[in-house]
Formats: sequence, C-alpha cells, structure tokens
Amino acid sequence: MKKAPIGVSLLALALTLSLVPQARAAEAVTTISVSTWGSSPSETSALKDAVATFESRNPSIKVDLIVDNDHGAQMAARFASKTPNDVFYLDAGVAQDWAAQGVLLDLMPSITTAKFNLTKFNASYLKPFQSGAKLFGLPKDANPLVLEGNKDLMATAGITALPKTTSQFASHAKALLAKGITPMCVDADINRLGAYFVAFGGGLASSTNKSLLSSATSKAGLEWAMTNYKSGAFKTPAQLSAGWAGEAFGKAKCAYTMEGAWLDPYLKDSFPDVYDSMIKGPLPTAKQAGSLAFTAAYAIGKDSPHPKEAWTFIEYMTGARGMTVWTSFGVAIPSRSDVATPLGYEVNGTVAKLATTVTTPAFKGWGDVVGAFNNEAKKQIQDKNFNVKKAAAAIIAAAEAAWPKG
Amino acid sequence: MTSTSHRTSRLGRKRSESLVAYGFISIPMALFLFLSVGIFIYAVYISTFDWGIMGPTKNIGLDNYRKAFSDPIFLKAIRNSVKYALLVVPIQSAIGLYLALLVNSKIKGSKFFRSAFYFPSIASSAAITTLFIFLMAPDGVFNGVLRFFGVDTANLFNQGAWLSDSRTALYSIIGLNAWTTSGTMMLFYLANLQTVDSQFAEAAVMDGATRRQVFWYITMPLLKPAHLFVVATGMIGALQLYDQAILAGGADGSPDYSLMTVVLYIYNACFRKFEFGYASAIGVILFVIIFSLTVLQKSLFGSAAWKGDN
Repeated sequence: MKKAPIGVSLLALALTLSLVPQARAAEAVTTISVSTWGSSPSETSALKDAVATFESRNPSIKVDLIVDNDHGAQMAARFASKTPNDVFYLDAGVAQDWAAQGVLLDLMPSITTAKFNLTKFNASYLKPFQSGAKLFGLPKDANPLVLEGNKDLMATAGITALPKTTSQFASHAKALLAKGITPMCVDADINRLGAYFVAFGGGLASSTNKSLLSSATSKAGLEWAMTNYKSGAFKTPAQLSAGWAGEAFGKAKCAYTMEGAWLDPYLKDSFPDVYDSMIKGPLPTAKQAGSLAFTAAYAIGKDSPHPKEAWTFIEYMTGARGMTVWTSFGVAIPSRSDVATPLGYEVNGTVAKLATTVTTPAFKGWGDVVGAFNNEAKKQIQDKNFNVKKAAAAIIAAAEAAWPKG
Repeated sequence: MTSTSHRTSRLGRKRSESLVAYGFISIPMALFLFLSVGIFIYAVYISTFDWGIMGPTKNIGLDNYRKAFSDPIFLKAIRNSVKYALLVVPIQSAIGLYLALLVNSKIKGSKFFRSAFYFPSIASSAAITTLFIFLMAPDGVFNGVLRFFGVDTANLFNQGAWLSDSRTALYSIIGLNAWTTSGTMMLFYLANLQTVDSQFAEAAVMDGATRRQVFWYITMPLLKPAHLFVVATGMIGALQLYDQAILAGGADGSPDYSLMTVVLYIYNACFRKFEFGYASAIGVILFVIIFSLTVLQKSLFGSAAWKGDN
C-alpha cells in the first residue's frame, strides 16, 4: 500500500476539522412550529418579541410562529392528520376535551427531569390542564376580568370614581342613563355574567365540577345582571352595534365595560383617545370581591415531531424569565407568583391574586354549557319586557340541562 | 371489396373514437367515484363508529343516528335549515325570473343591468355578510330608513339588533341570501329564455292572448327545465347554509340557536367536539334529506323538465 505524503494528509485533516463545527452547527439548528391565536396586532407583535428573546438564548432552536385564524378547527385538522405543531396554545375551556382525545403529550416526565418548579404557579391556573397525575399544559399567563371606565363619559354624569359596590353601580347607572349614556356594555355570556355569581357569593362549578348555577347566591347574581339588562344599565354589544364589548367601549358607546388585559393593546391600537381616558378597578362587589379569570397554556402534541425542543421552548416561556418578558408587553398578567405584574396593570394583577377570583370551569362538555347559557340569555333579554326571575330561572335551567351527566 | 374495407375502416374509426371518448370520461368518472361516491361510503362507515381525532374506538352501530334524533339542538338545526330553504328558494327563484325577464327584454342598457344584478353573486359571501351585519345593526342603514318613516326602532326586536333576535335573525339571513343569489338564478333563467322560440308567444298574441296569459301559459311552461334546475340547485345550496349563519350568530348559532343550521352543527361536532363519527352521521342524514327533496322536485316538475324537453 502506497503511503500518502504527510503534507497531503495534514491538509486533508485540517480541511476535515474545519468543516466539522460548521456541519455540527448546521445539523443542530432545529425549527419548531408554534401555533397560536392572536386577539390583536399588538398581542402578536408582543409574542414575536418574546419569541425572539427565546431564540437569542437558544440559538439551536428556531421558532416558526403560526397565528391561526380558527385555532380550534385548524388544530383539529392537524391532530387528525397526525401533524400537530410542536407547541400550541391550549385554551383552558377545551383542554379536557383535547386531553380526552389523547392528542396531548403529558408534560410531567419533562417537568420532573428538568426539576421545573410547579409551585410557583397559581394552583387554579394549573387545574384546567391536569388530568389525574398528568399535566397537559403550562399556563402561559392569566387574565381576570376587571372594570374599565371612560373618565370623560363618567364626568358627563358627574361621576369621578369607578363604582366599588353593586349599589354604587346602580346609582351611577341612574346618573348615566339620565344623560343618555349607556352605563355598561357586557355580553349576555356566562364568561362575563359568571363574575357576578362570584360577587354575590356563588360560583359556576364546584371543585368536583358539579353545577353551582342554581344556588341561591348564583341566582341572585344572575337576577342582578338581568335587572340591569331590563333597566338598560347593561346592554349587549349587538344592541350597541358593536362586535364585542371592547369595541363598544372604544367607540364611547358605554361608560363601563368588564374585560381583561387584552382590552388595553386593542384600545391603544384602535381607540387611543379612549385608552387615554380609561381607568380600571375591580368589579363592583356585592357580598364579596371576586372575578372570573381566564388562562391558556402552552402544550405539545403526542405526534409533535420535536418534543425535546418543544419542551425547551415551553420551559423558557412559562419560566420566570420568559414570562417576565412576555407579560412586560402588557397583554396578560403572569400566572406565576414570582413574576411581577407589569406597570399599568396593577389592578389586573391585584384582582388576579384575589382568593375569590376563580378560573372558568374546565371539564369535558363545558362548551355545551356555555352555548346553552348564552343562547338562552340572549333570547331572554331580546324582549325588553321580560320577567327577571323567570328569565334567570330559564337561563339556569337551560345551562343545567346541558351540564354533563355523572 | 372496396365498400367492405371502407365499412371496416369506418367501424374501426368509430371504435377508436369511442375509446378516446371513454378515455376522457374515465378521468372525471374516476374522480367522481373516488371523491364523491367513495367518500360518501366512507362517511357512512365512519358514522357507525365512535370516531375521534385519533381514529375509531369502537363500533356503535346506529347510536350516532339515535343520538342525533334525540338532540333538541340538532332537531332545531334541521327545522331552521328546512324553513330557510323553503322560504329562500321561492323568493330567490321569483326574483331571478323577474330579473331575467327584465334583462331579456329589449331595454336600454340591458347588458349593464345583467352585470349589475349578477354582481352580488360573485362577491365574497363573508364580505357581503359583514357588510350586511353593519347594515342591520341598531344604528345601521336599515334602522335609519325605518326611523325616517317614523318607526321606533329602539323598541323593536332586540332594540333594532335584527340579527341578534331569535325572531328575526333567520329571516334577515333569508333576505340577505335572496338578494345575493338571485343574480345566479337570473343567469339560469336567462339561458333558458334565450333558447325559447319567440314564435310561440307571437302566435299566442296574434290569437288575442294578453301579456299575462302569454307569461303564465307560454313562457312559464317553456321554462320548466330552468325551474327544475333553479329549484334543485337552490334547495341543495340552501340546505347547506353555513358561512352567513356562523358570521351572524357565531358557532352556537345564537340567540336561541335561531341560526344553528345542519352544516354549522356538523362543524361544531367535528371541529369543536372532535366527534367525527357523529358528524359523519349528521352528514349522511343531510345527504338523505337533500337527495329526497331533489327526487321529489324531479317528480313535481316532471320528466320533460328533467330531459330539457320543451
């Protein structure tokens, strides 16, 4: 065998060594797809910025961010074709339905391996994503309902501060109606009116997911809300020619509304004048302070192609650092206790921490209950002369009829 | 000998022409068999299973069908779809026929009117429904016109929110679609009108028939093929109402499920609840309804219309 000259061998070795790191770097970069929904351009922009910080800290992972128009339907199609995204938003309201289909990856093994501390999360925000010992999502943030007021419209009726109690709200409503101003725009939706069930001492569901709708306290909350619809103190967005309550508030068609932190970037983008005159406070209390809070999680699909990298992404985004970056844009409130509430969102943060602020129920079939409640509520208030007690009873009956048996 | 070989070559040419024809037909036929018949048979198969996102879990026979007929929301969806179809089809057909007669007459600018009347049909239904939602809002143009005529809209249906009142929502959508689809119906009638021999009408006029008599006894019967086509396609489309319903009433078809249609119900079963087996069963039921109505229409309008025999 003929030996190669030493010079040639060394040159070949040097060339090979020089190529190895490049080849490794090229191989090591993994692109993961992250599917989300976006309620406003500001929210999407904030998410892109948060993702950019993740990419800068994890150069071996690139994120392909996909903002779905109809997240539920698009995810269903991807699950069915066994091509789910690596990471996706998981709404608390559908988490149990999706988990029951067996399409979600249990995050507990990754959490255990990474020694990821779950105690930093508010337990009620984790609950919708738990099923026995399994955990199918980590809450990316939280969003309680608070009361927003338009200072200019309030001043027209001589009001200088937000109502703190339901009786104060009644006197504000009287003053505003006298000036021809609609006091409050709120949809006839269990995800809004349910906050008054809590304020009157009731709730939506027990810890074992039994209905609390027909309890005397919940009924009192609903009757109070229905009384307001009847008097004109509450109007639905449709009655004010708006697509949602935030739009009606932005167009100065009502003095108050009750939304979460998602309202702020929307107003900043679309109605900057109203944004400047907005003040926020907790919802009016009756027997207690309280509200409804919403959460969504980051989840991984059972068939997701890059579960390891997907977990790295979730670990960062739901960790203290990632959540600090994400919530600093003011779209949502942290779901972790070790992340500070962003400036300007102190009210949202305070309401989120209340012991009486409850997350909306999350069990298989909750969507049917929501549909039945909302359909009946909208039907009941369409005729101005409805009977408050009968209407409330009919709404509760419809929702309980749709409540999953067993 | 010459004539025999000539006949043979003619037969051969005929056979090769037939083969070419069958070759051309075979492609769309294969697609039809696979994409329509095959998919339908597969849907029937799926409908007998408890079938979620991850596939079938167990065969449940006809349970999905039993579940459908015991669900009050599904029954309401059927009632809404049938009510919608029974109202919108005659209205859009009548408007379509009227417009066709109008643009078929020798009036000035008939070409412009043809395009103008057809325009709503080519516009995106999502865009046109969004526009319609604005028009029908409490402070929209429709209520503005009513207020101009002294109507107190604040005390009307849901304070003038026509699309958010269970008593008016479906009728509002009927109004919208009668307007948007009548242009297409006009085209179908126009195509048939232009094949009608004017001698029939001229002879009737000479015999002393009035314009009304000519219309009812000459034109209308001669338009039988168009009637069948317009009613059949209109009915099929109407029973598949979806986009306007979800845009105006949301996925729940609210209020009071007044805008819940069969196809919207299928969407919910499939994409919100992931009950693919159940959604397939509803799809099969919808097919049976549409197929039965089409057969009924065929028998009502007679075989002459089916064959296009004037």
